[in-house]
Amino acid sequence: MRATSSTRRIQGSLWRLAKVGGLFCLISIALILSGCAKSKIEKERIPGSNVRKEIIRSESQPTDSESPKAKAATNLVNTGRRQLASGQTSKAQETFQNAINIDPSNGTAYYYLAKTRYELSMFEEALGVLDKAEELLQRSDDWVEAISMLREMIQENLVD
Amino acid sequence: MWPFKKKRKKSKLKRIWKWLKFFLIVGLISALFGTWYIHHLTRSIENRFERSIKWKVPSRVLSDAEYLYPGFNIKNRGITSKFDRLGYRNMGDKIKGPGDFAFNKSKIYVYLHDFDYPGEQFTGFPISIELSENTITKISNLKTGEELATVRLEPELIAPVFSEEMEDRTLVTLDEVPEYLIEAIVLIEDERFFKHSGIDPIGIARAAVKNLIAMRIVQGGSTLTQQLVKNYFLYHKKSFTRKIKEAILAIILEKRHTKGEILSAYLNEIYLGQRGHSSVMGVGEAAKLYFAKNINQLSLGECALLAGLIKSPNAYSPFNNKEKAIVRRDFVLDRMYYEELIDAGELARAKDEEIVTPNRPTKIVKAPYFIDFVKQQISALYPADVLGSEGLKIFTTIDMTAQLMAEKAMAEGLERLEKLYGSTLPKDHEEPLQAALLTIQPQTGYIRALVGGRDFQYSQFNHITQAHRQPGSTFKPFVYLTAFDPKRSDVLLTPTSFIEDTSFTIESGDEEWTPVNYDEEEHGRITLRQALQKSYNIATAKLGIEVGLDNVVDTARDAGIESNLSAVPSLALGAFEVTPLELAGAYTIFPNDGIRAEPISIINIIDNEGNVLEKRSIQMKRAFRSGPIYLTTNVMKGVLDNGTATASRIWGFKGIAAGKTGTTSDYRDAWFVGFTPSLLTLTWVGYDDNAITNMSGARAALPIWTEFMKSYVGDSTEDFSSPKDIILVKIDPESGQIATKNCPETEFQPFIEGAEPGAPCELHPALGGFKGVFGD
Repeated sequence: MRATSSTRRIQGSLWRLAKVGGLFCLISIALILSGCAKSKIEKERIPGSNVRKEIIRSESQPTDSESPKAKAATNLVNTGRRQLASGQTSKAQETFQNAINIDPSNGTAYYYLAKTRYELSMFEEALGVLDKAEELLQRSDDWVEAISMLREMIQENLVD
Repeated sequence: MWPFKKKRKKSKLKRIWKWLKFFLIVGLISALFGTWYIHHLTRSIENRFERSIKWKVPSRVLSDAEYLYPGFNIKNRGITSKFDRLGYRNMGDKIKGPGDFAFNKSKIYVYLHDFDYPGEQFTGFPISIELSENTITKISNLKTGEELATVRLEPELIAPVFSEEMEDRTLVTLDEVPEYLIEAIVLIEDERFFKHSGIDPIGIARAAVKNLIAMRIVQGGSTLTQQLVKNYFLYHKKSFTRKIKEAILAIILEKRHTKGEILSAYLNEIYLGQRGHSSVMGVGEAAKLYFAKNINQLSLGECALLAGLIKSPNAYSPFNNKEKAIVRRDFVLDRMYYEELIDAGELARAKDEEIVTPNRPTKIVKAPYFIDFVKQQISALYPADVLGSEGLKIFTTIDMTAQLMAEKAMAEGLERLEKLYGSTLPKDHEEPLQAALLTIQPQTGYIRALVGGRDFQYSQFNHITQAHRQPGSTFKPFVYLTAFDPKRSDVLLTPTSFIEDTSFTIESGDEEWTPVNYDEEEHGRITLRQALQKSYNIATAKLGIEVGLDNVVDTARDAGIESNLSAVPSLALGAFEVTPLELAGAYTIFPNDGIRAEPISIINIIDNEGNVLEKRSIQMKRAFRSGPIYLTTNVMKGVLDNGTATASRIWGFKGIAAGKTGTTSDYRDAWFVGFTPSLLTLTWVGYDDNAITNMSGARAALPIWTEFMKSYVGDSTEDFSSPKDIILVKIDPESGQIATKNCPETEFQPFIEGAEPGAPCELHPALGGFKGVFGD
């Protein structure tokens, strides 16, 4: 009896282990597939040789715009934009800072903070923040253009 | 007989005249003295009264506000403890007014406090927070039914900054004080207040009769004005002359000021209890202490209890004895009812009120090193006497949840070290082993937690801001950062470049210098990645010389290190002293893509009226290109996964992070500086007198770092962002060249585009022939 129950226990443990292992494998496959989906291997021939160089370019930021903190920060950015539009510039600055505080990878929060500082004539301070916005939004052409325009405006004032 | 009679009459007149003169002189002197004395008393009471109108209100140092939002995990952030620290009262199942909270498994109800932010007056409202497995799923405004995306919890009071008197006070005006409270106080303490002129003979007589009947003192005859005078001059010794003086002063005060002015002064001056070592003065602060409410938010029952407390705050304190507090409150309520100040319904409802007090903070002094650091920064503008009396509000960057976790991790970490390695620590060392911890949000520079030493009571020396210590190997990343940046280095290098970890000797000054590895071995041909991950001294010293020591100094300067640095070979191994604050600040460039955010601890300072006196905002500036920063960070990730800090993984820290251990010569300093993409923490362990600890950074500083990060960051899956110019290239790890089909082992390694290896692997060349023509 004792032998039988211990065999059962071992079988039960093995079954649980197999289930956990299976689940782990499934998760791993899903993660690998999701990783593969993001990165594409490019092949470039090395001049003067028969070897092809294999390259992966990262296509997107690892930050998750759907994460709770990203959503909360985006919400604050929207509040800040409304404050900025209604002339509450100082308050807007605080709001954008709070958005960054919640989600430091929110590129738009930095952009609008730079814009707010530009409106507050804090040109030096605006430039540093704009650098960070550029770093985070570098993969969006629209944002890169907007950042470049704002940078020009700030620099014009710095020259003055 | 007749002439004799005449003579006697003359001498009698003379005597009378003599006495008359005497009395006249005495009378004149007494009148002069009396006038002078009254004038003196008037001046002293006026001075005191004038001063009291300009109350000494302690300044308050506050933490950063905290935002709640759907997806927020309340357990990780210890939100219920935070409610306690914010003075919210746990009402069990339902909330009634400001400062209340109630919770069950799936919902938290909170009635938010009013709060004066810089430039904004926030009025509290009730909210419901829906939960699923400790994670917020929905927040709603219970008044409007509106769903809220975020809710801001007000900053926590870290510490008040007192004047010498140690009096805690929140000023109130007569308009703010509920009528019930004024009526109750006047009724209980001095019911003829509006009828007498400072002293009340009828009151005194009545009290005397009552005391005589009871054969003990059951009622005092002091008026509110006399109590105010007593409080002003702190007369503790009971004596007849003191009573007379008190009475004269009370009359003077009443002659010169209105009843309203005197009542207002009384409400702000009266002693109402103790908070740690500080005295709670006035009804405004008492409302906060006993009920976690603003004065205008008190209920009738709370007003009655507060009025009843004046007689003996300690005896009737609901913190000490709730039953006694209820009896005292009901006594006041009954008197109010008999005097027809309240009706029967109000009396019943007020008596039915449960007395709910907030949890008393177990720790009165919080973050003492941080508070000291804040005070030092503003000492020029706001010296101690201003801070102790002007009621400034200093809004700081500290996150009290992080701070408490940091204090716990450090205390437990030191205890563990002394238990485990006590035998290797110096015997009978006079000073205790010290440690320090600093946490910064790299993108904003906000200091989130600061523990400057083991015990502030024992030593106020702040090891984060004041200590100058050799950083040891924690300096090495600045050497590698220089190497990976073609614009900073004399030679172009990548993490896969090779270097010889073989002993060498170089002249430094007038002496010869030979670096040695900690394991006292040489490791031959290794990659720069291996050299940093394993913290090899010989390879790093060689690299420093190769890339240019002046360039390394420039890198460290651009990162923010301001202490003395010289371009000598030992620089690469961290031989020049820095402050931990400097070092942590310099490290923030890694998680912040090469942008340096200035570490800050103060955000705003506002005065008693809410005017913003000082505003400090996030300051950042690009100091480095993001490509070399990414490469260095990527190598430092390996320090935790394959290098000198792997123990952190064994101890259960699973989050994505990078960092560097540090140990100085003869094991005098143990360091670890580690970071996730959004949080950087530095830990240091050592002795103040530079004694040998016999412990490495991995053994002494890393466990404290790990425990703190496990509790604060958890298993963060957020990875470091890769800049656009970074590519992953498949290489042969043995040759460091482009992998061919014949390479037995290959791996993808990051490079700045254009700096990747150009040639195919020479150790395993691709086949020639047709394949060579048509490709592999």
